[in-house]
Amino acid sequence: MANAKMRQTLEQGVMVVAPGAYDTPTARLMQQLGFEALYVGGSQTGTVLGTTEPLTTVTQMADVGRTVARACREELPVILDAGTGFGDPVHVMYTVETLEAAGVTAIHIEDQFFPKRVSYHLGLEHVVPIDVYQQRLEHAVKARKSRDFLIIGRSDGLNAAPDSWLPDGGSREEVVKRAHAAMEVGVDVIMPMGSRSKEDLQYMRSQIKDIPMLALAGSGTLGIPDFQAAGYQIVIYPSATIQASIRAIYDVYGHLVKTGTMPEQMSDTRDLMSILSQLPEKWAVEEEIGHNR
Amino acid sequence: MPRPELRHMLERGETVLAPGVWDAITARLMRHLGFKCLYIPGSGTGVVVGESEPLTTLTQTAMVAERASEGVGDELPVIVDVMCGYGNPIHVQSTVSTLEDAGATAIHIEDQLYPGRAHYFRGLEHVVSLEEYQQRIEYAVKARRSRDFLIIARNDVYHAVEKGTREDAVKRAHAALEVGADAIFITGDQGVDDLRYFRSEVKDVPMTVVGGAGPTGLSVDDYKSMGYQIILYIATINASLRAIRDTYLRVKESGYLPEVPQEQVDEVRNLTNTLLGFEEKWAVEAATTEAPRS
Repeated sequence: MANAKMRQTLEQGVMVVAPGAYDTPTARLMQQLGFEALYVGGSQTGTVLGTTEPLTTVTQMADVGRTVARACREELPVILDAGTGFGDPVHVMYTVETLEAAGVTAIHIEDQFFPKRVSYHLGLEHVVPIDVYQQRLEHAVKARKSRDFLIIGRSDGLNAAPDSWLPDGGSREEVVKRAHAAMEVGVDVIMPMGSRSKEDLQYMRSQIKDIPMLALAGSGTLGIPDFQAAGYQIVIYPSATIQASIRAIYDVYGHLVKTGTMPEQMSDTRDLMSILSQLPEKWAVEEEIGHNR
Repeated sequence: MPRPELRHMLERGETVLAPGVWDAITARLMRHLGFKCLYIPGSGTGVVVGESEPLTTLTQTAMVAERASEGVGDELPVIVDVMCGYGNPIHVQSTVSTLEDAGATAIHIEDQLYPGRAHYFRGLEHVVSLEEYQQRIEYAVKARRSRDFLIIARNDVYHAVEKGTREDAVKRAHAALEVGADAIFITGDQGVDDLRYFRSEVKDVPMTVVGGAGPTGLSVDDYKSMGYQIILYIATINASLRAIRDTYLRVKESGYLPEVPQEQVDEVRNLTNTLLGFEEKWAVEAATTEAPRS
């Protein structure tokens, strides 16, 4: 079930901050830290699955989305990266059905080519013509069951490579045009990709009116206060979670390989592990029935 | 399919380091670091599942093992903590065949009470009788299909509530060897003296230990010199979740992610690209979908 809180939060003009999660402990950790929404990114999920995003299926995304949503007993709305929607309008409709049933609350659908290309991660972006993009979103909106399930229109038109329908390549004007096309067919949020500077963010916001906008935190130095000042209402973290994890494991086990010992005992993590696996509740039950002896 | 490499490494007298993992990317990272074996600790799986080790089911354990093994193309042996074997001898047999199907190469089975108790994590461990323990191991050995699938017999009697001695621990190890266990794993040692004692009393079979940590912890060479051959490392998930917590605590407090020097950002990105095989995929695209159009 989509969580109604997200739509309400956006209508109230309140900021939504969604850190990246990809399994039960990462989701529950964010809830512990006091975050009120979660983000399941495609790149991060592709990394955790060991496949890369362009090879990830909607089934895998739904599995991760369901795991993350359930980890927090569906108390936190989950925003999920639905990529291109995984195909033509009929596939996009199936994607929406699958992800809505998985218990996530919002999905973003973009205008990249399907099937997706790995060269996207090299900065080589291709986008479909604007009418193909609009059809994807139109059918996504039509396919949802609950009004609380939100469709986010993402455009990668800023840095797109030239194509016959886009002879000069991407531009911020193109992103604005695509945002308007998305709004015509009823999307709930606009997500302009590739905006790295405050100036770009401000330009997009000034041209795209009366709809919540989403920004990505991670690359660059912009933080929540900057996005808020620029009029963006949703901030997501697409890669900071897995990057922190890989860095930490690499350092600790790199040390073991080099020196033959683990650098430290990490006894300060005991409570964290107990809380994330809900041990205190279980200890209480065992105390009641005498299993604490 | 169990990998024969683990049995071969042990037969050659090599030391096997098995770091804890729980998914494709952690498994692949360990392979990249050069580890020849992987470990699925019950404590880690309990956190991944979110319900703690005593509530983790056989199905969940097998799923995590499968995910990790497939993450490295089933090319590394995986040792799996199956706790008590999930029940009576008939359940133990099902555990063995399920894990063998999941691509595991070794499992360790212990003598704690089944069902497990959450108070284990408060240092309260209960063990079953020696006879019941021996039956678990006996039926595990009988159930395996491949000789490359190894049964590691763990016993926790030394620090159990039932107040076992180290002699009891040795007795249980001998009972497990009588029914064909391939390796012994005794927990609860109080240090080097105990480790040496166990090794001197349990002969001609590989022994397993949990790797120490920190400045006072024992090193790989220490274990080697004492004759321990399988060294398990369980704190991977602790390192991962602590780093994630610290990152987002900063976001919570300041609104900004921690500042990371660009070369470190690049290092992790390049590492991730290597782990995911980006170069190979880019090359295919350069020759096909991204080839210059004529």
